[in-house]
Amino acid sequence: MKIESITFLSDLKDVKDIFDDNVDVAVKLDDGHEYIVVVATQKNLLTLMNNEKSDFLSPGDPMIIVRKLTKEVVEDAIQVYAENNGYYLKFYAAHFDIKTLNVLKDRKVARSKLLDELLEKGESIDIENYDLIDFNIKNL
Amino acid sequence: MSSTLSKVSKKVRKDEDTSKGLDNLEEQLKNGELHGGRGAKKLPGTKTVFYMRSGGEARLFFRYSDKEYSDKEKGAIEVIGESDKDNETRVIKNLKKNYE
Repeated sequence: MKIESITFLSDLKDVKDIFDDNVDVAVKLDDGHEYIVVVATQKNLLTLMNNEKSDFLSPGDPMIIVRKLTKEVVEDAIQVYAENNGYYLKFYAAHFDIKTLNVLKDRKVARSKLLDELLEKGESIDIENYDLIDFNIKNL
Repeated sequence: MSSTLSKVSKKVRKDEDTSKGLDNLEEQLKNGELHGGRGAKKLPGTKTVFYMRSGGEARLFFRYSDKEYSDKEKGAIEVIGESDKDNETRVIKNLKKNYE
């Protein structure tokens, strides 16, 4: 998917250690939507755990992990995450309320069930044009 | 908080997870724990505005009081905006327009 713009939501000049920090980045794709992703370094994961005084990172949105926080590295990473219709960029930037998340899971299960039924009947499994409402999620 | 930013705050707090995240950040800010969540950042183009970020959606914008305040309040922290990621750039644009 084509990236229209990449905007750092804080100044990289303010980053004291490019090997240990994270930044919010706004990515605008040619679908007209803007996606906010957090880009962090590997070392920063340990710092965040230390800050939390915990042996694990508390639950949160996924972050794109880079070796160092420079404009070039972050932009290169985002370009790769925007490939394949922007799947991983959209996935990493996604946030759903629990009801929406449950509907998405139901849709995936219903889609899988429909594929099983069509394969069982020996029919075409070309169902990619089905909309969300075409899947019956009531009897899962 | 301005009227526009109050509306954004009200909207984003409809999401339970974001609302909890904002509450946690406010508590951490009150205790001076600026490294809470994913840490605090200075808002580019401003001198006094910073924002804290939770591990999820919550974004809490604040500033240190300036000389307009009395000596007693100088150095105090004022929350000037609450957002989620979807509204983050919109809130940032608004704050940049209204704060130095």
